[in-house]
Amino acid sequence: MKATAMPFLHDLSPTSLLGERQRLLTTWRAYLGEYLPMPQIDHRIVDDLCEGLFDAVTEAMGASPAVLTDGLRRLLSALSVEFAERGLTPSQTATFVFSLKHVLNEAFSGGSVAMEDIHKLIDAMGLYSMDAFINRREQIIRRQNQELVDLSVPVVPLWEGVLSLPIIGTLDSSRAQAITEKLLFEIARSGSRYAILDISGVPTVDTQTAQHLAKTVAAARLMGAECVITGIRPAIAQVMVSLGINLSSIETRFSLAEGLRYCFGKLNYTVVKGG
Amino acid sequence: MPTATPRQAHITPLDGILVVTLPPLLGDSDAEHLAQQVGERLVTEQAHAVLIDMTQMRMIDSHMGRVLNVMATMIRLLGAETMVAGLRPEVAMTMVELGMDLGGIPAALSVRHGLADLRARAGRSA
Amino acid sequence: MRTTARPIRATIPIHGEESLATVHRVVDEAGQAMGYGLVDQTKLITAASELVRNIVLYAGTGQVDVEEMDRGGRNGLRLIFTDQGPGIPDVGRAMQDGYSTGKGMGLGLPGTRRLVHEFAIDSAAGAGTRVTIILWKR
Repeated sequence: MKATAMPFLHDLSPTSLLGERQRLLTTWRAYLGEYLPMPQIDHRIVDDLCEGLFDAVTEAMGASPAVLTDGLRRLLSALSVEFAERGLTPSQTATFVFSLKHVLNEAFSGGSVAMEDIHKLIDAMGLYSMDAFINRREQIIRRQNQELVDLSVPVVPLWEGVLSLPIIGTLDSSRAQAITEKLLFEIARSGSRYAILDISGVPTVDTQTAQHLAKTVAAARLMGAECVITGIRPAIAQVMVSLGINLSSIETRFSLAEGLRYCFGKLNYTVVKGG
Repeated sequence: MPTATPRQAHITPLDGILVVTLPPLLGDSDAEHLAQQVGERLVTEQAHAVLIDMTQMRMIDSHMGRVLNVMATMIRLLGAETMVAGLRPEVAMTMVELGMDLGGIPAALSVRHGLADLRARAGRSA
Repeated sequence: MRTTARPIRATIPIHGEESLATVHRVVDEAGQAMGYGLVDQTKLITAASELVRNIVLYAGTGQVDVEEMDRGGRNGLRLIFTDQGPGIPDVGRAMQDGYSTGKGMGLGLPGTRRLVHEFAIDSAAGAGTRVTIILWKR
């Protein structure tokens, strides 16, 4: 906005900031509109953030040297959360904060102690907003991971008293934990005595996977339910043998159908062909 | 807000089965006396089995695990059998992670399941 | 739900077995204030229980410090168990599964480590023991 550059005002101070508040805010908004367009965010929110930051900086300048106040931190956190959730980048977030420097540079004479001080403050604010942004993004990623894990654990009732759990994909620690949790709560909720864990969708069974399975079975046993593991392909069985993995204390069957037959036997059910 | 939670066990005789209901968190001194109390009631009630109701228990640490194992051994010596019932999923998961088991004490999903199982066993052995 | 914006911070003195009830209550309330899920809440109380029993068994007295943590946007609880007891001469061995000093505490330390996200032990013969555990909120 070089065309509308303001003439130098007096020296930078809380009083001069307060006096020129409206004019400076208008310049800032115009600058942002030109150099940092953010169509993802409602302009009223941008206006609020600008006003909030401006006022907090004015207030922080009352102390010398100006430091990051709790109020500023809160504002910057709110700004970062907003930006992270709207899909903006960390550099856009920091640029937003840094752009306040340009506004002040154009309005006030440089070289003063107050100007150096406020530059340092805005630098600290920019870094703080980036940290807050990244923290928020990590929170979002963790939540999405958890949602993905939850979605990928279907516990299906096969018969009265028999649940089945088709496990598809690699069984890492966090998934194993989620799967165990879901299965056990479902066992308790439905009062099912038998659960069939079908691992035909698991690409490979290493020592750790086997350990996860053994823990699930042990926890179900403590609750009074029995697990049957099905879908161990010959190739996987071979790998398990060569790794020395022993699931001998656990009931295993080749197919889901065989697993169901085993549960029927335990429940004293007989399958009879009609007609 | 949790006020004073009961830390004592309750024993209820039911058709030759002693139902021992454990509180959310069992106090240590109460745990020490539990085996003795159960033993005495087992004899006076002439019960053939003890069903330990864990439905309310919020936690079993290794000390509590040992208390249960000692109690089960004593019950076996008195010629009766022990079964646990209603262990919560989160408690079961934590026990396994801690590396505990219940030394082969049979388990049932609920008190209802447990009573049915114990009666079926008694029917078979009678 | 957090009922207060104040960070969680508490110190519980351990005098003997009767202190266990207080630890259960304080840790339970702190965990609920953090908003842990049911499984993590149970793991936290169980871990605290194991470590308090260790203090009672080996040192007699000590203390537990409960503090809210914030590291890189992750929240959690840190519990520090301190005693001035005889200490552990061989920490490496004490952390192995199945190790016990003969009082039947074989599961104690290695088992407890599996219940939490972070576990640190600082001990030497004659110098007391400090165990620090952290459980992050998922």
